[in-house]
Amino acid sequence: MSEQMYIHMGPQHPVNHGLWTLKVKTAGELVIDAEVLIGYVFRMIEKIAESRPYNAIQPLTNRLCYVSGMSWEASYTMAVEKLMGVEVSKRAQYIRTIMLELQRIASHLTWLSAYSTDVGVVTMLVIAYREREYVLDLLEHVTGSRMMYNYFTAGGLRRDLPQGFKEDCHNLTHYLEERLKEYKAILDDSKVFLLRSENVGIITKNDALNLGATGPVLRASGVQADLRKIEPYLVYDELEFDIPMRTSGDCYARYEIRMEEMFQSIRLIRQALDQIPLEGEILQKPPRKLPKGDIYFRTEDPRGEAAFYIIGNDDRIPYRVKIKSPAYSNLAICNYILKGGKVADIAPTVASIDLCMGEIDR
Amino acid sequence: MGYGLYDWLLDGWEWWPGIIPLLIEPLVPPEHIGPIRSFVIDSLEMTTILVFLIVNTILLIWLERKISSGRAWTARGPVFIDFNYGHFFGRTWKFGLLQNIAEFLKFFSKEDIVPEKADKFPFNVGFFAFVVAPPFILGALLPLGATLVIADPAVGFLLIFALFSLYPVGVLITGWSSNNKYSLIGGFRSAVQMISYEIPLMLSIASVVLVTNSFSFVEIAKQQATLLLPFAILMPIGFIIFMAALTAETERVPFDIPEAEAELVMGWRTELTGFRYMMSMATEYFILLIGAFIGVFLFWGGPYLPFNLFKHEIETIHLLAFLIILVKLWIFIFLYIWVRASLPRVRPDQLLDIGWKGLIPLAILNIIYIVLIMLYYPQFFGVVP
Amino acid sequence: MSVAENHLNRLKERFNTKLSITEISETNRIRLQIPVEDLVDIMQYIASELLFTSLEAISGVDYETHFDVVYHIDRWDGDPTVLQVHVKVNDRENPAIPTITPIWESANWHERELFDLFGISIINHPNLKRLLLPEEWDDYEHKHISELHPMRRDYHLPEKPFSFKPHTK
Repeated sequence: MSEQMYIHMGPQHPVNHGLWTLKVKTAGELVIDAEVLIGYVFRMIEKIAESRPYNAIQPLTNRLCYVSGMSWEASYTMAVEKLMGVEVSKRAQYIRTIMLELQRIASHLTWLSAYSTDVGVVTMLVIAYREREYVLDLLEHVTGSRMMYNYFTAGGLRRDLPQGFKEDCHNLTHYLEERLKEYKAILDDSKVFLLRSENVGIITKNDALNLGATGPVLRASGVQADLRKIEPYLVYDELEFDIPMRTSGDCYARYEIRMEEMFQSIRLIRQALDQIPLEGEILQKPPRKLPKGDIYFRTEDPRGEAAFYIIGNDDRIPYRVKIKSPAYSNLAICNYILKGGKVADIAPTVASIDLCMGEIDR
Repeated sequence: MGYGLYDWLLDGWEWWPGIIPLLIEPLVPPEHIGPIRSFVIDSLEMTTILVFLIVNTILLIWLERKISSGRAWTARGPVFIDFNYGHFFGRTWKFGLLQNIAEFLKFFSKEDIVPEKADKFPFNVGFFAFVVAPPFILGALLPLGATLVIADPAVGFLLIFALFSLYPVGVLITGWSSNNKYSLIGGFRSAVQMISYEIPLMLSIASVVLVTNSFSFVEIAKQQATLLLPFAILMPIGFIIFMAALTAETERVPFDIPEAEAELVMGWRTELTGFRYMMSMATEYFILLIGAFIGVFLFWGGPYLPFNLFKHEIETIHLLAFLIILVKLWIFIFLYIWVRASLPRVRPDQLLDIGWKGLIPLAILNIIYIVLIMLYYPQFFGVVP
Repeated sequence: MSVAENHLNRLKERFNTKLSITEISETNRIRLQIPVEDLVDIMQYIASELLFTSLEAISGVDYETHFDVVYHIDRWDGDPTVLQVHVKVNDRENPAIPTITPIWESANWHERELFDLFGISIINHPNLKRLLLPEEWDDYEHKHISELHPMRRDYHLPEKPFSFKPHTK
């Protein structure tokens, strides 16, 4: 089997969670070359955004990623607010922080289930999804929707927290902390899991920076890059949390970082719940028009750095909305990681990047 | 040999069906009557063991769905398709026992697709001749009690492994001839895996044979009965190697690489549809069941209990021996299902590393350990020098 | 003097005459406007001397009269400065800019996207193909050139849905 051949993995294939194609050139079990083909769910959200009032674009940003809709609408809303110079009340900011961290946990749990399925632990698929469902229940309780929240809006939030949210959220954090410790122990104690994750899909620090990796992938390669620390938005500068970092740059490092981030999110939620001010305007009326000028606003999405480049033209309709997606940047490094690896390593490597085709194709 | 289940038929040959001698006696010479009788009885006994194995395979799949993809996945597994056992204690009691039967029917009603560009002859013949057929021949060698067995040849379970080793050939033929890259890679992986894990499997069994001087299930089980403990405890390394190698032979987690869903859609059976797919999956479980049989007899003492408990009763009451075998079989199978629910899968090269660098040296060490004991302290294994 | 000002001063020292707009907004966004001819030189300097290690995004903006290509570059060492480099492309018929893929590999996909959606061709790009739209997009029934590159402002939707015409080879 030393003959070289192409294997098309996709657009419908168990490796890719979403629609994309990985064209792999193999010699036996070795990957000689890999090429990524995308564009299957291309909806041109950037073009649609050029014909709609800015507040009508926000539901579209929810649809950028079906796993972490909240963080995308947060990113867009905050970019618009910063362009218009709207300052949101402290209470609204705290609620936003709590929501974003809950969303981060839900997104990482989805990732955990996808990754462990690709490594072969199918049991983890189900139990990680079960915990995610509890988080989504809480989010549904607040926003009225499981996945497409449309909760943030320029000037604040659509509604206040429901009664009893504080207790529910506290209970959930305790439940999650206990369970996550258990799952981490299950996976870390498994020799086979370590065999499949360690020294697989390695990307060095310089390569990661040069290829534009962001988020957990970059932090796994030894760069302490988290926008919540570097460029704090909302109330992240008032809360205490750590940024996990690993230097090995392999799948196991990415796994460890995401697990650690979930614990940090729990820590953040608890602090925010304790410090949240009782009084504060939930929704203030934003200006009707976007002023002339441009803004490049970055937030820390669960997948990495999400950014909006918005150009206003003294109109309700923005002149240009550019979406910078972290999964897009991370998918672009895919062929560099896969090259020279094994065919059997494709699945864990691709899954460890945490893809979401909605935001890659936009 | 034989089960003796149908001896009443033999005894009542003169009178019972009445019509059969009347039909046969004018046609065949009298000296052929005996072989015809034993042929009829052997056929009936083969049918019995096959029905037993198939029913157990179906139950094995049911148990796996109930435990591995049921309880372990926080679900209940198949529930609805079953007899109605009534409504009491506030719920309707159904266990989904008939789910697999229903799905077999569903598979048979599906279209049988042979890929247009597949190599038709090997795709059709290779699969059924080498993958599906061999395990079904093995039933005759499996004892259902202390002495109940259809055939007990001198080569014993060597015959079973000879038939097992046809399986990778069939897998390779099917994978290659279906003209699909996933099946091709899956077929090669499968063949490599089975060939390399047959060696530790045979070595671990060789240690048992060294002690017992026999290839016969009945004989090996009987020799363990003279010891206080079964071989699984007396030679633990050999038993662990046997378990690991059997997992690889049956392509189960953590060694289910040939059908690794993640990268090779369904491995060598990607192009199999309908009843072909069903037969390939059922064969795998069938082999697991036979493997469990071998494990129970070689390492768990077959129908005998540790510390010579009820030895006399087991040898005389066949039903008791049969029930003990059944319980041990299902405990053995449960271990495999449990492993499947909790482990990831390894990579092909790691699999070969484990096989060649881990299990084979360990198996050789195990044999050295056995030989040393046999030389200097044979009483340990109950051998009187 | 803030960190951002420091970076800006170093840039000004080196490329004083070539930078047409230099300003700092929101304390850590440096906005530059540079000519197309010096794009590669300045980017090389930014990458190797100013140590801006990561290219975040390349956005195209169609101003009807000209294209504006905006590069966002940052450094992941705790310094929140983001360089926002504007490049003006005046030729609307055959717009072209040089590639910066040799400097930052991450520019590869962003430049392909620019080519795909705006029709700005990238000189010396290693693999210049459409990224998001299908590669056969040019072979579809198009009535007007502007249907080829949908992010242009003069793009108009075709009257009927596209019918796929496979390659005739």
